[in-house]
Amino acid sequence: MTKASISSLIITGSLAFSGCGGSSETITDDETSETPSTDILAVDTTLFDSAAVVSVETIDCTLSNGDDSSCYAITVTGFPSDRTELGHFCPTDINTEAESAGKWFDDGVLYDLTGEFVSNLDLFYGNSEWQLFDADTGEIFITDTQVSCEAAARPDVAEEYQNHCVQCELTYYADEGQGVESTFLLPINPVFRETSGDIGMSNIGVSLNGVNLAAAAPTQAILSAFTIAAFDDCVGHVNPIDGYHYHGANHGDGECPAVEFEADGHAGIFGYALDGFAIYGMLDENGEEATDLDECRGQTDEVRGYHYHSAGPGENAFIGCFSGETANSTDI
Amino acid sequence: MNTFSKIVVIVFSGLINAIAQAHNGHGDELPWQACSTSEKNTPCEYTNSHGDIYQGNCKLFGEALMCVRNKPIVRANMSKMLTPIKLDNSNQGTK
Repeated sequence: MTKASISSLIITGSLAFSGCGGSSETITDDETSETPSTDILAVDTTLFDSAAVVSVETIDCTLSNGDDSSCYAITVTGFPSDRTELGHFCPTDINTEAESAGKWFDDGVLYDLTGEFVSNLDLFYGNSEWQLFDADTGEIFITDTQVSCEAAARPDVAEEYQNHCVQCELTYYADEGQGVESTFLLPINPVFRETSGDIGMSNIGVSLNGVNLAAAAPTQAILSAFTIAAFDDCVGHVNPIDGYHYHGANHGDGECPAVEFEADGHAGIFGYALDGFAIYGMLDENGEEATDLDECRGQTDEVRGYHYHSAGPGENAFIGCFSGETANSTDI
Repeated sequence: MNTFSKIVVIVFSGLINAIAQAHNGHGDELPWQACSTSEKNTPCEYTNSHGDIYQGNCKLFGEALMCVRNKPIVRANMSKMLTPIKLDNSNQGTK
């Protein structure tokens, strides 16, 4: 089953807990509003991998400032077009090496989720209640069924699923080799906001290989249940709504395909934020990071105009806020 | 979207739960703790267990503020003022 959805729109608009939208109006110390509009480049849909895109439509839309505009409604497959399979996620036992395991992040650092790492979580987090493995067999406790993964992927994790490595298979929600389709609205010509916009709790954008770029993972809730929501090498994992989605950018590490640098050595582009500004990798070809990023992690240059640079793969974020208006309504 | 689906999304995709944490020391609380008493958009900083310094601004994710870095990471070996903590079980970064 491939479920077509407009998840980014639905989730952003429906969840009562959202801090995005109205609350952003209280921001007063905006840095991005000083950026001149001449630094804006239109969204280039040709940069998307054709295998990742189901459809691209040009539609009328309303921006978050109330202005009418034109947007691209881009429907992506939800399966990374540069890969044939996902994972690894949880290690199977305490001897599992990095090559057969996924990732976990903590306070800015991305770790190999090896068996050894899991077996030392009590030391890592300074709490003896961590016990994700069978002390006799060394087997890691993994949510290896749809029922168990969904039972563990909720705030009130049942007792029997605490101290588990949580992983959900994409095949629970889509056919083998396919993803959960999502449609994203991107303003064709981005418009700078007067004050920066909050990320909220939904997706922040879409990758050029057809995957949701998610907001920060609620790691405090995950850890409070003594669970690890394992990522693969691309800092992605699966949930029942978005399917496979990313929580960080880790191109070129392990089984995660690299993204080519720009011709001038600038970091490579890998996606677009919901405000239509492009997102590039954190580092340039010399391994250096820009020193003039604004609060949203954006900067301007003559080649790319205003654009974002992703945070590090272990930082649980891509960008800090939206410098541009997002599309908050549509006629699709 | 049914209630259960919303709950799952909350856990995996975005809402920052305000559940108090029992974990001490090394923990992903640091980016959140750095902004726990701050206002949105104010500068923030935290030092992780490796001694690396992250500097940025407090940004809103769901209902909670998290420190989002916008300055290059100050690595521990670049700062003689800090002594990184050695964790026997750590395996930072790349394979």
